[in-house]
Amino acid sequence: MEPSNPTSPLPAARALRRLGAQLLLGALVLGGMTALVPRRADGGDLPSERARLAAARPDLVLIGNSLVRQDVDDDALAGRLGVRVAKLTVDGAQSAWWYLALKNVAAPAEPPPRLVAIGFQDLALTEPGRATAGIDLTNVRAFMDGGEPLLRERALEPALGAPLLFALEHVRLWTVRESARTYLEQILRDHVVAPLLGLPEGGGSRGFAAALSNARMDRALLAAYQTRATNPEDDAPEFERGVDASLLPAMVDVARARPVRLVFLRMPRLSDARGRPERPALTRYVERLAAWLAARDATLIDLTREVPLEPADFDAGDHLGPSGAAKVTAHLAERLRALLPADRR
Amino acid sequence: MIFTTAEFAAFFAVVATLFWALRRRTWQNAWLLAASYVFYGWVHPWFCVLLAGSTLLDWSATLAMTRWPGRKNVFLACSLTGQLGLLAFFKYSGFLVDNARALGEKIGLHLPEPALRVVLPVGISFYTFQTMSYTIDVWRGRVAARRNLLDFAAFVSFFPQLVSGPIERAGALLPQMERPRAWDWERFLSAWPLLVTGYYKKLVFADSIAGVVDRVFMVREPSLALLAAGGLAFALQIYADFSGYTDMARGFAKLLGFELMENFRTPYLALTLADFWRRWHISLSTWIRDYLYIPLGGSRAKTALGSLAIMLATMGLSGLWHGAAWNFVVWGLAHGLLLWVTRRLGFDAGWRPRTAWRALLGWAATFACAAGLFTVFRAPDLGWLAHALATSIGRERPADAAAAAVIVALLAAYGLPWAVHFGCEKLAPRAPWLLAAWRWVLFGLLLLLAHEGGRAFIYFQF
Repeated sequence: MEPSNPTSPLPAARALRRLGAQLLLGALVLGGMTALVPRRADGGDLPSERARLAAARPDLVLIGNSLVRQDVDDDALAGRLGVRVAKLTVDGAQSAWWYLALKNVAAPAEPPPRLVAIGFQDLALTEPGRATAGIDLTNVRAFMDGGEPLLRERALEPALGAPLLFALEHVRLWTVRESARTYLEQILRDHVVAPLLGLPEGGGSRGFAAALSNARMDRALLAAYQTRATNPEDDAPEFERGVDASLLPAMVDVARARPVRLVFLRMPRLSDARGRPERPALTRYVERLAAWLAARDATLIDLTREVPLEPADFDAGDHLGPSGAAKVTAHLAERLRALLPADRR
Repeated sequence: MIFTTAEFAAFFAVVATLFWALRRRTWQNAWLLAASYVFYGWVHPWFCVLLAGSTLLDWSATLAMTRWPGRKNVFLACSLTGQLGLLAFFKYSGFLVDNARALGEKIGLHLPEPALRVVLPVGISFYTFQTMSYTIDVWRGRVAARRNLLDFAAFVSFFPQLVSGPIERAGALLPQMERPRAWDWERFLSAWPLLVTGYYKKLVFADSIAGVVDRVFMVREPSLALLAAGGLAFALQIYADFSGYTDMARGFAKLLGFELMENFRTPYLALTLADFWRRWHISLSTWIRDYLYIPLGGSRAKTALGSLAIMLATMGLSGLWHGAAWNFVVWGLAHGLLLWVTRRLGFDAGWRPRTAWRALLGWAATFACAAGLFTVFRAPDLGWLAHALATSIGRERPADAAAAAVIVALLAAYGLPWAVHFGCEKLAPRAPWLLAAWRWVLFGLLLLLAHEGGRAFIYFQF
């Protein structure tokens, strides 16, 4: 028979006192740090974005992430169409944020825009849990209007789990961590390094981005790195399996209720420009998405297939450079001209 | 399973709670063994077969040595062949095949592409070295062979240190498996500092730098400044990553009532290369010293050339242990050569400079060598490095200078809280509350700046 655990050399009462003192100290330090840290979203908050749209009175609103920001020239688009265009974008945003941008900012605008176009890639429209942690959660929360039960049920809780979501929403230091890192690094680049090297404003960020841009990478190493970063087994599931659990039906309902013409833009990908064949499952998925949208008075514009782009039209990853953006904007103007409803506002 | 994921946090909470709820040591070890196999086989369950095979091989070989002492050399040879064979097949077969094919191409012989690529089981180098040290110690008569398979298997597979060390010696960890353990408040409370610093080093420092380092080492023709900044960043990243892992491993082990050895002692403060190797990855350096360097002749070599050959063989193999690629071998050989040269010049591990200037010079030279050689270690391959070095000089671009300065600024910003913590540790005897408070600041910064968990530790691939 083996002996059971003997008693501890440090008496429990003393240990608990030490533990208590530590926790008290922790509460003081963390409380102080929390008070010092501001909470700030990348994409602005609800009142400011609503005010911006109210002032701009756009006919056309473009919603998306950095792809829409970089791939579509809104001034050129406005000029070609002869309408007012506004963009609602935040880097890294996916369908949770797009849904809120449509429901809480674009659709309620007075007067409502005639058309809202949402840019997406791959399966983003039927994967509502994408980009809902870190800074993305901060950005999503900045656009929430009330409890947003549908968003919680379909996007946040399935992706994060209720306990983690609670922690992310209430532990402020954790909630802002992505943005804290982003701002810290921006300060270092543009307010520490740039003045030290005598660079113009923003020169630190520009130099850093230029030195480490995709254009300077060894192609073979970059391809191997990107292959490693994506799951080779990732394949498109059946569209019908994902749509009912997504925020897509709600987006269509919101647009119909105003009414606002809703268009989805499938944004270009570098792999297509390089001639890499699309996975058959993804082709099937896109076809079904297009049919599903058409049956609900919404439209899919597949910029991936419709705009002939060269690899040289791309800047970093799937983001277009000026030549690519010009091609996409010109094509989009032609396609949207036919879809833009008459102005009855 | 990775220490930095939510699934590990849940796993550890269940394992530790049940572990302490089980009062009998045998049950605790059985539970620990089961947990370790779940941990190891989480992604690829078949890895567990290898781990079990490795355990059974050395357990039976050492028992056979005791049963038939006259044939102990045969059993040692069987064990080493088996362990090194596993390592050779899983870690080096691809390397050997690729080199054979490349050599074949040079002489006009077209060898076919191998039908399958072998997946490298995580941590195989760590646990094979751990069991090999046990077998060799039994053969040497320094450790008694263990009959209790449960205790031995729990020792080999102990999950906090299974996949990235420290490579524990049987003499240190096995007795801890065999004696009854007591709940110790002191030990429990001492886990917290290790966990906080470990997670800070990994999730804030190493993971923040990792993306930048990855990109620098993909640039086709980096300038010298960019390459140097990338090399410096990787030298600090790998230290933060690996020593962070060790801190976490030691912290989790403490929560289960075990003590693991220290694996790093501020290696970048070393004054000589020999001193660096006494402070860097101590469990591997001492393993190499005890089971390779000394048996090969070590410092007893009669000629300078002999001692150089032994040093190069030892460090070359140490490099190869890290990975099946030529840059690891070159990294090891370069360390071997520099160790040999500096020792012959009198700069061994015990070198104590007479003036502060000499100390500063020694430190700077050692740091430059260690960090510079990590550039060889990190390079995608020797061809890339040769091309980068050849094209880097005289090709300074303003953008590269800005990027290099940003990288240094990032290192300073993320490293500062860690450096302050180090300073507080030095002041701790006089101001213990300062250290306690700064740990909470570090914890707060961890919440504020941590990357999402899930980026694997660098040493997993070794």
